[in-house]
Amino acid sequence: MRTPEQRCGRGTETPIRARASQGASLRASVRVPLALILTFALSACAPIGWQRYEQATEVEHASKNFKVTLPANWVRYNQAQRDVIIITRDGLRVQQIMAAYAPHDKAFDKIKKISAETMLPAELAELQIAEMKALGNLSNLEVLENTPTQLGGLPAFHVLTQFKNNDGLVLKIEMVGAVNAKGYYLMQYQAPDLHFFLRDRAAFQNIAASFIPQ
Amino acid sequence: MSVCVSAAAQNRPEPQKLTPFAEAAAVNQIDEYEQRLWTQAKEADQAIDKADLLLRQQETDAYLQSIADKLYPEFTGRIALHVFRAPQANAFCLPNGSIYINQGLIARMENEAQLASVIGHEIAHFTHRHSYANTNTVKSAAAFASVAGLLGGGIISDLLAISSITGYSRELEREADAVGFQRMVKAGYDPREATKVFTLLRDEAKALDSKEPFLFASHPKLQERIDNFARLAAKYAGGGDAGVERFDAATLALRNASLEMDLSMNRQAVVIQVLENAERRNRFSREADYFLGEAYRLRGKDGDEKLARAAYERALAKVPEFAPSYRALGILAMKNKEFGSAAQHFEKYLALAPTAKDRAYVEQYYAMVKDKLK
Repeated sequence: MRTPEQRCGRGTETPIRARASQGASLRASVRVPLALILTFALSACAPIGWQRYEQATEVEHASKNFKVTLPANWVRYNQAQRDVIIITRDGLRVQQIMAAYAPHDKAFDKIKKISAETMLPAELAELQIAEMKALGNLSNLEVLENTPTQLGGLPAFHVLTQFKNNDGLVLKIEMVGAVNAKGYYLMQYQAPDLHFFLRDRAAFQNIAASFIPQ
Repeated sequence: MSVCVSAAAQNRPEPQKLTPFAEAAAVNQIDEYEQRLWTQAKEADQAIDKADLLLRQQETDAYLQSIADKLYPEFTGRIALHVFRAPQANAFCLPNGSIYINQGLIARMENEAQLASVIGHEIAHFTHRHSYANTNTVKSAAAFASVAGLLGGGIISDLLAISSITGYSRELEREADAVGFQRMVKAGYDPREATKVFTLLRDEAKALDSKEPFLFASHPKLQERIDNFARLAAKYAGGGDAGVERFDAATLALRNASLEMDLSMNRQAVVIQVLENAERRNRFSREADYFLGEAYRLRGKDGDEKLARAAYERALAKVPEFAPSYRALGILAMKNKEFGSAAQHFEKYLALAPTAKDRAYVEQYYAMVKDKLK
């Protein structure tokens, strides 16, 4: 059994002048959007704070199954168990980029489906969309684009969706996902359509381009 | 919001002294406590509208409204029917006369009489002021507060929580059953169809091993309600209008959209339950076999691939110009290394669907199988 320290441990990183900051009130305020959009289960452990990257930094996921390079001046939201790497620049309600890994048998927990190395990207996309709809009860989720792409050299799907939240705000979610023998990988970017989505889309695309499966 | 509801509950008249609204004009005489409920209900209406949770098919809305007007002609113009974009078999009524019928519930009905029994029941909650009567119970106050507070929370979850499940007491549900039934009979519908709504939804929930709430699932006990309705229906042996053709014509687009919604939300079991019956399947569009094939494919149990292939082929035979059947058969062939057949199907798909959203995937598959054939 893993110790609490191991369960809440940090992945291998090469941070440059990384600095953690505490932000209890902000953490509390982001729970609702996280619960709505994250497609992999978050850790039951408490969040352990924020970490700013002042330079572009390559980080390794806690599972040691992939690495990505996070951009300078973005802040990482440190979830204790590190199932998911989440970063933002201006706050999670403004924009959030996520990189996650799940073993095949945990890929689509909410809809009780598994992934497999042999699955076509379009089949993965179909399950990912169903998982999102089920997680957020998003019957109003609209798929704008669904096309093949590559993620770290793996055949992948690229899906762009949008939905209106309870305040009538249009949110866009862009996802890139792929599988290999080890499991399922998902990169996801969410931001309000108005003003913000296009602004940081390039940052997301750069992070996705830096993805290296291990 | 919950404080407001509680305050209203402390000072409101005894529920048994509430007089049902006799006609549309009577709703102008509500007291300040009931007015508060209405204000909250209006906020809920606005939130639902803003979050884009209504289906907004003009033809379907008009059809539902016509059934409501037929059942409660004295309330014409006062009751608003909406189709709620949710797949669950459910419906709910807000205190101000806004009735929401889930898309998924309409899609499960077989005829207009069944739909009328649901609408009649929900409107009875409004005309008999059940939300107001209910605010003196902690459970229902909390349930309504959850709706009223939906602006800050999970809107669909909150609404589903009160949709005829947690909202009303056993007595009020019985009253809504009785009033709705009388209205249905008076409007000339076949009363036997009311009983069928219960049994249809109960059997479906059982077959699907569903834990999700569905209309009429709780108070009073479902079997008791089925028995009550059967007794009531027995008094009207003459039958009545079921309205099958009207229902089929007015809801075809909605029912087709509902199949797609169920499939996109991993609810393939519902699609199989509805479409496995050939007679029922024939009342959907001619492409229904394709959707059944998709449901088998998504379920992925032993033998489902064979069932999916047969369903796709039936769809192809019925509607040769329907492109998705070719894609589905092409993928099956590709996975089984039947590359020649896969190439033919993909080629046909690409020719028939030049602007399909998934065209890039199929182009990739086509290139892949062509490569294998070299």
